[in-house]
Amino acid sequence: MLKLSDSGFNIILIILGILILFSIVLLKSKTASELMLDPIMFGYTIFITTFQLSRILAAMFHGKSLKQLNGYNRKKQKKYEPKVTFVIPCKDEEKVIERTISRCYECDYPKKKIEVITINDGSTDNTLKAMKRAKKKYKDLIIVNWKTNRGKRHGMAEGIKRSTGEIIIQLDSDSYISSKTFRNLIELFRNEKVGAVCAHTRPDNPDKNLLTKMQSAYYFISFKILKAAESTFMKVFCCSGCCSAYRRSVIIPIIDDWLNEKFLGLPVTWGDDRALTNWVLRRNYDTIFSDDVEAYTIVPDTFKKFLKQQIRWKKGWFVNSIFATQFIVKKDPFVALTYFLPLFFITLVTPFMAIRNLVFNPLIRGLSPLYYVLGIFLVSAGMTVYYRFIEKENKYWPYVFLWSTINMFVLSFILFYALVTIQNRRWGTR
Amino acid sequence: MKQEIGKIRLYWTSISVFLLIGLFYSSIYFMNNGIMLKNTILMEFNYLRYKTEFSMDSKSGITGFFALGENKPTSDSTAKGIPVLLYHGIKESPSDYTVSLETFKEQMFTLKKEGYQTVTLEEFNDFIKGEKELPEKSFLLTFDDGRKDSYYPTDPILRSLDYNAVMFVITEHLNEDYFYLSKSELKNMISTGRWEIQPHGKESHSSITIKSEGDIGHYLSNKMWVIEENRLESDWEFKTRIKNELIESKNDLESYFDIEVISFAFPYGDFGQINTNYKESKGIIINLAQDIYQTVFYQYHGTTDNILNLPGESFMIKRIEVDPNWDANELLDILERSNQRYT
Repeated sequence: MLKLSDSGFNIILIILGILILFSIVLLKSKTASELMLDPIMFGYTIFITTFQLSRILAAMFHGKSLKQLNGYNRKKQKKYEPKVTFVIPCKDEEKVIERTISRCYECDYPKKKIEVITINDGSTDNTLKAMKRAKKKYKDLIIVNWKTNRGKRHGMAEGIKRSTGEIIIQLDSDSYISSKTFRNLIELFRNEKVGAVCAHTRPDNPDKNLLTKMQSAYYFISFKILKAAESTFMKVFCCSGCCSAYRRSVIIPIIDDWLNEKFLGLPVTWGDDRALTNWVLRRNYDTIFSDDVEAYTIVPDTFKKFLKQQIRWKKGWFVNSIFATQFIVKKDPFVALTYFLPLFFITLVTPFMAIRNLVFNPLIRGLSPLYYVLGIFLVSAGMTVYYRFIEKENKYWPYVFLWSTINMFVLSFILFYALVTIQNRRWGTR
Repeated sequence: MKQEIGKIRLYWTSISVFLLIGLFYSSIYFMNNGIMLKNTILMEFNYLRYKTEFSMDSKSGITGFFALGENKPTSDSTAKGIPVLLYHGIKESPSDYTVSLETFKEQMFTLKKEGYQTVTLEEFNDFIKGEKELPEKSFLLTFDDGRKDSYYPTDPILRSLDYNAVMFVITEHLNEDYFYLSKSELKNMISTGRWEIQPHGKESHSSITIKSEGDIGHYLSNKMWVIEENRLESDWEFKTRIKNELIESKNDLESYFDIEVISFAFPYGDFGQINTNYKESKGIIINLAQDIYQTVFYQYHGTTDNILNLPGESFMIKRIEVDPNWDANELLDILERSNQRYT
């Protein structure tokens, strides 16, 4: 086998990127003649492609943007070691909770400055016992025990209220932060404008099956490209629930507003992470993503669990996007116009486009969906090239295309289901 | 910090807007020029393919591949007469007026290997006028009608063999863009230096009514039926119509392109020698054409007879219309035999 040097590899990627861009142009020109009869459609496809490419572009600026965070470099010599509190709400997690707790204490950080609060939210298994076992080892562990289930949002709120740390890290019961990169997460809070930081999260069970491999690819894209792109403008709209850190002083004043948030008269039982991020943004603090912090989480390994999670996410996305439109235009018109509103619009239109191009056009008008599918794969290919560029050793990149396929044929339609069932507020398990 | 972040936003916005406009305009550009671009790429590719194939074929190997411009005929003796080949379209599969690409390629490769070389129209005319000598095994390659499918498939072959050709075009079709070559395509052809563009009539490739019953016939060789007045046109009207047609064909091309029009190819090779409702047409056409053109071309269908054009013989040039059923050796045979008559 020919072994490529790093620069050779990168040059090939750059050439590939240019080729893909050129292919996109050729594809658009191929469809343009048909779409000329329909200038709105032509405009739309050009717009959506530019939008997607502009996200990759924004992700490229992420490193530069992070470096420019005030004090990030200048004040480095001065020690910055605020107390941190981990908040871990959980229900029926007897298998993993003990390990998750010990991983918090094992972080590369002074033990005195680590506080862990875990909330047993009405578990019906031996979760409490597991917590108590952990407490024997870590005397400072705070256990909140609820006999009846109240929901994740309540658990988190309780933990946040009881916390004494300056920085609060919200963890899912099966998530953890890599010990070595933990300090990088805290470092970012040196800048007082920073209200929340989202860690780069990878699946902890990536090789279990096809589905988890695919999600590894998707997580990579959604964090390292999409969240990084949001972070370039200091406005990450979702500091992911599996592992994010908040400044306590920022969220304490709004914690009850967040807890009691209602949509169409009912309390919102999903998208708590997005909602909390929204409140940070609403208070005019920056929310950022750092790829220097590595976190891990367990991802669904059956299609049913995966679909359920997707439905909850879509609902959470929709409700919180509605909430966000109420303030983002005022707080940051630039982000609102160049990213947030277009994304909201595109996400809602995409399922209709998919129906038009995959069902209506082939069946009624006898037009091949080939160009539509090809267009989507070309953009995915563009993302994959950048993916390979930033992390050469990540082996899950071929699954990006599987993700695009499933997204095109299944996930974009789930939005409909999610919207129809939006009044179903059961506390869905993960 | 605000400023720095502002800078990033500015850069990002600029590039994104640039991307949007770029995508938009390049899509539209390629929509309009995509076929041309595709053809160009395809032709470059085919050129290399033919070039390789020919150098493999002729066993000249890698040196043959790079031996650009050294393919001139090596024969020392001069030609007594020069044959002219005529093709119409060249496509994947043969039909009437269309020779298959494979056959055409084989024919050209074979001729090249046997030492045949094309001449330009100007060289050819000078030879006919007796003003210039040309080497043995010279021939003139011509195409009629100006069809897209006679340029795109053949040009890479001609280029790989260092051959050139004359394209006789119907000047009233130059604004169309489907079957016939357009003006911009013809300009490209001229600029390659491999193609000379000459007229094949303006309207005269179409038919006219020649009888009261509505029968139709060739434009040049028949008197036209004047329907309104229920009569055939007069001698004078006929002569004027033919003269105008011959002149306009020439003027059209000279005004479109920066070229000198020196020859004319009769539509269907008909100058009144076949069927006509006006016996005198042949003489009139020849007389008129002689005033306007150095040479005029027609199809000559006898293959065993004299098919070479000799100096000083006639300004009427015989062309061998290549039959779609001939293979490379049959064509070579015809040329070799006619050459032998004079050696």
